[in-house]
Amino acid sequence: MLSSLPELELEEWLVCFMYVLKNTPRTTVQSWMNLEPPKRRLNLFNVIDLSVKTFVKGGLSKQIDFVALDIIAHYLQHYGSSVEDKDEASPLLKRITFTLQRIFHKGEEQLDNTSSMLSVLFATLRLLLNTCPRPIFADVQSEFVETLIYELMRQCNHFDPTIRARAAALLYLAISVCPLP
Amino acid sequence: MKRQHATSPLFQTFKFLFLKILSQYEHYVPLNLPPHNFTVTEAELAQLGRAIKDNHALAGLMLDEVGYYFQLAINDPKSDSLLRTQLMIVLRALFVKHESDLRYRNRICQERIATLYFPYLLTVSHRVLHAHTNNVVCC
Repeated sequence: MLSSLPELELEEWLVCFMYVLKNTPRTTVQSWMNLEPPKRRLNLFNVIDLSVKTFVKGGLSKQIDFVALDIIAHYLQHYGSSVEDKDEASPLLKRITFTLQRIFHKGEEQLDNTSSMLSVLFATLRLLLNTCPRPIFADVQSEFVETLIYELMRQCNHFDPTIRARAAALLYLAISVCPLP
Repeated sequence: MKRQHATSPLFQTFKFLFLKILSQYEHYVPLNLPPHNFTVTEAELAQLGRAIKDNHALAGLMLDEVGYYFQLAINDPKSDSLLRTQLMIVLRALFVKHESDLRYRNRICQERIATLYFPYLLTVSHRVLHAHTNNVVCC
């Protein structure tokens, strides 16, 4: 099992994985995702999540988070609308929301995410809310929604006016797409 | 030489050293003939490792070793970790070299180089399948 490897070795495997993933052409990533069954696709996101979890401090952590957000956004762009229809996709969505939560928490631990990181994170969240609002607000995701709303409200006080505006707009979007019970 | 004859740690350390010398060669990338247009089809996905090994020799050699040691890592994570780490440090140094090489700074070059190592993504994501499927919340 990958996560039971000693930390030093695990970091080496994962950093190489993320380097290749970062630079692989997105068309290749897409054709790969098209060919893989959902279980293997889930596995890709498991490895991404493990990378986000493993690298916590320093510049490398930021780069890993950017790659993770990029791949998540790419996935949502192409498969987001199909998530609602398929039951097997829900563990994947759960994993994605878990990764996003980790990135949010990292920002909290390091006092604050940088403006560039928040912009990319918000763009991914906007995509998530627009493409699959129903599963996001389902009961199983309540912890994610809790973190999302809390962080958005916190970022509404950000020193950068652009981030404040984006956080407020995203909060409004979250309220407007929330399906009525 | 077959792998079962080459299990001594000293031999493996020398093997990694040899790979390091090969991979740090100035013209490593041109020798590998990075592919121009790369699209994966279903038939290719299964044979991709073999195709890379046949057409891009040095990267194929590296991937072959990495695949073998990754399988060992999955089978028995706790033993021989230091040895595998040595190999991964060689691979990481190679990627750092690719990224910092002034000749290949542009996006297209980086993409072509990364394509050489695409089977590595398959190796990792395919072989950890059973390890993570039952463990969605915490890995």
